[in-house]
Amino acid sequence: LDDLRLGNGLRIIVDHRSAGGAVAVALVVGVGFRSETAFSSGLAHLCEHLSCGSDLGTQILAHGGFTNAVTYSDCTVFYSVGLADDLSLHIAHHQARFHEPTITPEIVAHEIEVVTAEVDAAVNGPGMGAFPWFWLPAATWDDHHLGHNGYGDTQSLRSMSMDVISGFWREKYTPSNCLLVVSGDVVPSEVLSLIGVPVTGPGGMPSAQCRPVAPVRQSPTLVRNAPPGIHASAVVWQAPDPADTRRFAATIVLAELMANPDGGILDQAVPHGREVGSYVGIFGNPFDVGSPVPWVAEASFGDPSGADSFRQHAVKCLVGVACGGTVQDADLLRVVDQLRLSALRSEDNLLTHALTLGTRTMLHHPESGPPPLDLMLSAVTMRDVRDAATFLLSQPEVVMSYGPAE
Amino acid sequence: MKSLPRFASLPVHVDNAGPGRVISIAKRGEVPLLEYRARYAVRPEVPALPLSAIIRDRFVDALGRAGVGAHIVEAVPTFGSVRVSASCHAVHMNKLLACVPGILARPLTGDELQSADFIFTEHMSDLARDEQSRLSADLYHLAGWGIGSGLRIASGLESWAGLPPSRFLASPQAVTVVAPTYAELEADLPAHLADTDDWLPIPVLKMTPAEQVDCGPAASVSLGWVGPAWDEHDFPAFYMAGRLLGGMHDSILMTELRRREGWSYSPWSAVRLRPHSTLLEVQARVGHLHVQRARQIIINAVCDMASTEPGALRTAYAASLGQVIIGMSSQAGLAGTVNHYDFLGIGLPGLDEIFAAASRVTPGDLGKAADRYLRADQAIGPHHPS
Repeated sequence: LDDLRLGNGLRIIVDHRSAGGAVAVALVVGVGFRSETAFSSGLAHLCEHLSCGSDLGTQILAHGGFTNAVTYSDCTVFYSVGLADDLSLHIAHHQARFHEPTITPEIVAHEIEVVTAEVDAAVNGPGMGAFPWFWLPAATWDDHHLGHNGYGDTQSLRSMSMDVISGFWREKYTPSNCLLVVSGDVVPSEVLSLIGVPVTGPGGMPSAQCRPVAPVRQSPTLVRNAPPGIHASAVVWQAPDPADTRRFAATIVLAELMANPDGGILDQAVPHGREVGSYVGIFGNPFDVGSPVPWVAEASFGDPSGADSFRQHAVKCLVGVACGGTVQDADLLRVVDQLRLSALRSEDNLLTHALTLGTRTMLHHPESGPPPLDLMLSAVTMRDVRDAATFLLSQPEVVMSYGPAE
Repeated sequence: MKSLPRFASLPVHVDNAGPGRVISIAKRGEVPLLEYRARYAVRPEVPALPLSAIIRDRFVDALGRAGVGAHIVEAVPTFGSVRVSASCHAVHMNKLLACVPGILARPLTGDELQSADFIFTEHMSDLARDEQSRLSADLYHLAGWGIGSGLRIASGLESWAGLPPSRFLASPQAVTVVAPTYAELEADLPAHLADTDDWLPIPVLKMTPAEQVDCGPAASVSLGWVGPAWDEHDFPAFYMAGRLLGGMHDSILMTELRRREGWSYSPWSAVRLRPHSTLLEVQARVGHLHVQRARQIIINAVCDMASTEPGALRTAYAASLGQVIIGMSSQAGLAGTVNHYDFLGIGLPGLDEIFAAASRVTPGDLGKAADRYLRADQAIGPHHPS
């Protein structure tokens, strides 16, 4: 990898690899839901929408490529994939993010309508899929910046002045707050030539930008209203800091051991026919959120009493793992191999690879870049898994029940 | 205009294992991943869907016994054939390839048939709830593309229950392996292709006119036109018509139904290929009030291909070519694409020829293809809410 810092502060990683004439580009901006104050909820997502209106994106689509963007808790990612012949188009497309978009009341009002439709379809509607991932941060942390609704409130968004929106954008969308990943059939000199800003040194940040670890909420079961027909429970612990690579990898393996299609520990513990899941990260992806990262066990059932029963199952399973004996060597090998294969397939996909490389570097390993996930996982031992379970149990857990309103 | 592609120059070694059977080996990249793809032709009287479940179970069982630690195996029924995808860490490459020949070499057991029956029923239940898949399945059935996906016949299970187990054996038509550059094959892959007849049927086209059928609260328009085979003169123009109609972000359907009328979020069309036949499939979800007018807009657009601007043709060509190249950027994508075109009998050289011909298609060619294959009275379609 070529990991460089440019004169305008932009960090750039060029990852040359054989890709059959294709290229993927990911621009990771250091702004997300957790960058917002009580008075700016929803601004990170709104700014993502405001920064997407480029004619160059249309040209990428017209050449068979694809481009889109997503706002996570701690970063916003703009990405594209297309022909390596179109590299200049992709670079220009992403460099355009550094030009302040036109922010007028009409444009903002239109984008708020689009955001509202998106939230209705993807969050409030059936697309949410019965699991309460959207409410997990609010259930888990008292701190506003960690736990608030990142999509914001339509009314408060509408009441924001253009100056507030512009000010937020200007503060966050600076080259020095961004990382550009270019992956595929490209060479660094060509990429740098297209960007046209001189290199000033290596790309790594001088120190990790980890947020202070905030303890999870200590409260009784939190009940959220859900559309009719949807019942779910979640129990949340705080995962170890991702910078602690070995322990973090062990918690990923532990989550897979708890729930997987071949008969996880939690699958076997709950009543037959009840669907359960277990994962690291707010959206089920351990690499789209910085520390603090939640470790989640969830179930497709649970009024408040059912949720507490599920909590007892989850705690009992973790205690079993921590004490040894629940997990056999063969189970660990199988799960680690499955996760490694999944990591390799993700690495094989050019766009997924660029996205993961960018977010992991920005959020977890700003100094030297992330170690290969395949190797991280293969180093996990039975002792690491037991330690991971012990680590989770040493903290208070949060219980959430998600069901129809009374 | 993009320069013409040269897919034939990709580092893919092709070995013809016999009439209609192809084996491809490609080595690319350093990701330690093995991607295996195979297409099995299925006898026309056999529903491919339950057979795919049996093939998958046998693969998983064989890989487990061979000590291939982690693997992903999928078997998907497609138009009277079964497409198998298997992935594993590259260190297991030779173990995986060694166990492949025995997978379909023995007759089906009663337990397998019973298990497949359960899976088949569940699949059909899912299909019945998924309106777009159901419409596609019925469209393929109307197009004479076998009963493997056709809901109406397949859901009856009569043909399934009455067949002797020996009839369920499938014939491998194409096998593709993509491995990292450093991997070394210990076996000759052509030995893995079974020595059986080519069962893939040439479909008998049943030109059933579009029906008017209620289909519940979610209204969809589904239409199809049977087209020329890929090696016929009109195919490039027919293919480009499909791309222009609904195969890209600023297609005719997106312009007419989404931007102009605001009736449908993502109308689309695709040209489906089989070895001896092609089908232009069109779908659009619209409100009940707009179904008839949306259907007429689609038919008008299809029949009006001759008025296409040359600039739109160039854009459609570039988008189409780009999608294929980008799709082959991963080892998995390369394996899937090579296997698909080998199975169809096109191969990578044939793909070059198709794109070369597509780059020369004119509005006049589109008009001729539309006159021959895309007339309003040639439309087939299973469901149209009244």
